[in-house]
Amino acid sequence: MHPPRWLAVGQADGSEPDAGARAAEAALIHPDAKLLIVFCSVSQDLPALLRQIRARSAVPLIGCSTAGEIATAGPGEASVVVTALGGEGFRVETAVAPEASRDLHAAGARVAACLPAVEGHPHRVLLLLTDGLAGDQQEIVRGAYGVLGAGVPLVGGCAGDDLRMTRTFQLFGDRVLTDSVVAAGIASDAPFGVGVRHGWRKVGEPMLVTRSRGNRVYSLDNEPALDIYLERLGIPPPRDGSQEELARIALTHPLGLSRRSGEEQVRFISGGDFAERSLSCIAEVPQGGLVWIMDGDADSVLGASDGACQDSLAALQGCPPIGMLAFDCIARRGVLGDAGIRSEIGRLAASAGGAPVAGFYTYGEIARTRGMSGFHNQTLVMLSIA
Amino acid sequence: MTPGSSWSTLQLAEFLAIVSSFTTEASAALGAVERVAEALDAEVVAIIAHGQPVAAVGYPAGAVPAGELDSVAGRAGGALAVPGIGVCPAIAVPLEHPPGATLVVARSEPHGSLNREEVGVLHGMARVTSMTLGMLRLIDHERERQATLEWLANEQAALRRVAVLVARGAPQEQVFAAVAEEVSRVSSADMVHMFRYEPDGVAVRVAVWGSHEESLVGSRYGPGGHNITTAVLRCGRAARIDDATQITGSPAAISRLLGVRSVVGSPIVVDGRLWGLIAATTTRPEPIPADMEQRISGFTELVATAISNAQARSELTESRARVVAAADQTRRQIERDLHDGAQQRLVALALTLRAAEASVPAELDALRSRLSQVADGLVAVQHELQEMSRGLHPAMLSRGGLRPALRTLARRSPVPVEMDVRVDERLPESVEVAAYYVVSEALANVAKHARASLAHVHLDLRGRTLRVVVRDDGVGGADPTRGSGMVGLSDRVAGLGGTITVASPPGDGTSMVVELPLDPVVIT
Repeated sequence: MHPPRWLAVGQADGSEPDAGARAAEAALIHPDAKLLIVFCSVSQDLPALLRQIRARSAVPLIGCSTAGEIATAGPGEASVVVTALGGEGFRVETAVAPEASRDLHAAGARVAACLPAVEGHPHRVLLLLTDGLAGDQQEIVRGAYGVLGAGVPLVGGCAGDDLRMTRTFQLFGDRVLTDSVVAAGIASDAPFGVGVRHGWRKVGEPMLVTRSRGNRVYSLDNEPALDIYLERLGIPPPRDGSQEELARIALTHPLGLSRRSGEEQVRFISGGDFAERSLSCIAEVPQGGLVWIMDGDADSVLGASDGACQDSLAALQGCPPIGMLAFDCIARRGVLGDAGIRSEIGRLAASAGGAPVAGFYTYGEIARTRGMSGFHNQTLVMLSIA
Repeated sequence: MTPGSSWSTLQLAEFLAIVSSFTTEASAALGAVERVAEALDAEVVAIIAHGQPVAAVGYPAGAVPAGELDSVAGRAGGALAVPGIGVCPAIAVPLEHPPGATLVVARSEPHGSLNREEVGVLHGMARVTSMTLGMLRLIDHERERQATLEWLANEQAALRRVAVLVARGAPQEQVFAAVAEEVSRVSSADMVHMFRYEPDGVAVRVAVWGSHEESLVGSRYGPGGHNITTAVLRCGRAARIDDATQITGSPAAISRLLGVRSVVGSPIVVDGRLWGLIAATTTRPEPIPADMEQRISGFTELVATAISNAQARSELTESRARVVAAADQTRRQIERDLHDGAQQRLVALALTLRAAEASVPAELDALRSRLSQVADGLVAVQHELQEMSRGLHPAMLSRGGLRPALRTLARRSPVPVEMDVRVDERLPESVEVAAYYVVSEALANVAKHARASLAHVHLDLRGRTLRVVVRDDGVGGADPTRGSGMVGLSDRVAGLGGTITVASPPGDGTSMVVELPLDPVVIT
């Protein structure tokens, strides 16, 4: 007799041959799997990896490339993490929207339509894996919200590419895609819980966004955005306009947007244009808004990790978790350092109370339970599954 | 500026910046409800007007409870049951635009009801939304007006292009093909067909524009069944079939083959008689626009004019041909009468006189000499009559064809003629006669007016057209409308559907080019 709902995680070092096969085998602990979720490095041969996994099980599969993988055992680099979810208690449908950047709103709406409505499975969640380099991800949230309404939580993250910031991949069945949204609509007879925290704090005075368009900020307080950003941090402009140096600084100093409830929305700075002195962010920074430079340290960030776990577990209405998925912003890794992220994953595992944990380091996180805002930067998003 | 006190301003500024960036009313309405929801962390935001949602978020797609939202809108607030969330306090703010609209917002506990500041922001956002939607409605109207104007201009241009062809007297096939193409251009039709009705009601496709092009031209469809050619034939007015799966009768098969979904037919009425129709078809699921018949009617009138003109031209040509043929017949009859009657009598009289002359006794020398004179006179009269009858109808032409007949003309011409006839076969009699008279009249003119030392006659066939060229090296400056000979000639040539071109620059000789089609012109 198999359990009514089960979740298992397999992890394998990507440098070993058949890493995909071994991770899949470790995750497929029962024969009635309903969904496979794959997180892996861009350094993997992705089509070959999918072939290995699907040779073990042909159930619906979604996944993405990462900026580092998370499993109960600890953080991984160039590894493969396969999560299997199964049992009679789950109903799963998957969907894909390729060429998402043409219309992110429509892409969100398209994948949201897959969520199954099944008698006896009242708890539902839409898990989204997206391409954060393809434009304003809140548009995907808006599109999905328009289809599902307020009753269905949205959770997930933007794929990574080991911080190269050039091209990320989304996995769907045996397909390796880019500029796509892949999603799994999961209906369950037990609750889901979502928690989201960042642990950053505002530093200094706010700045008015005097000119921006979409994700690009041209001027703050009527000064070139890049100049005033570096000036506020007291950092001289990188020599030779080095993107790498800017990326390193920006990792620990995102922009914060004021929000009515909850924490500030954090905007991860993905790069700068040294010719036009602008900053580009991973999500929209509206013109006319106020922004702060944010700062974090290991303690505040780890405190947020605990908070996100507790929030997601509390939403399970007393049911014990069978597993947790973590979508952890790559920028938090920069603040925590190698020792810090090991400590963070230890805390996640401890919160799970023995249930398996899987996840990845993201270029942006999705978590929507109340209201309509659902795209975040610099946060840890936890999905607890009962 | 501290965050607390500036929150309202900030939210409104962001809202204004984003909502005003939408370019259509529908996208702005959806964008506005989405941004209100995000700014206020609300689960449900909807714009409802006259009981119908204009835009709404927070409900599953297709499950927006219009009645419940309308009731909250009517009471300016209350509570809404939000699926998956529970009952949420709601507030309603009227919008100035769209007319009769209300903005409804519901937010779940614990934040629940909006505080004073949030209500203030919501009113501000409602105002921005009203203004933006009102402005976009105006812009949409303006865009529509522009589109209408542009469409009218296109239609005028298309009608003008066809009208020019009609006025130029372009061949009917060319006019039909142009009309089919122009109709498809100004309408949203995928294919345009033109049919002509035969007396028994069979519709013959005379032009088509669309995917299958000319392969369909000439196809015939008998009357009967539910189809557009039969419908227009029966009622004589424009007709349409919105569901092509219902088509029966002879056009049913081709209609299915072409994937026709709907069709509109507009009659072509020439001089009060139903001549044919223009049919526009689409292969798309949406019905053909209601004004399609009207769009086509401008073209059917032009087509009717073109056909009417061509018929008038054809009748004129035929009547000229009849006149010329009758004249030729009369001349031939006179020539035969002269040959068989007066000339024979003269020859007989001359022979009798010669016989009488021979029998006159030698002593009556004076009488014999008188008789001889009379007989010579009779022969001379007979030669004169022969020459006269030759001018009436060239007997040589009937017997030997153009080459010997023209050679005779050349021999008789006082101006030396170089003859270059590259036609060996016999041509239709009317064409040969016309060519003969063209050369005859031209050489007569050369002799009378050109003061030329040499004339040159050239004949050749270009396809199914005989080309006759007469040139001289004279003084030029001829007036082609001068002289009754030329008028008769142009009637004769026009009667055959041919053309005459005269070039006569002063001091540089005269050349006349006549083109005569071998096949009679038939206009239906």
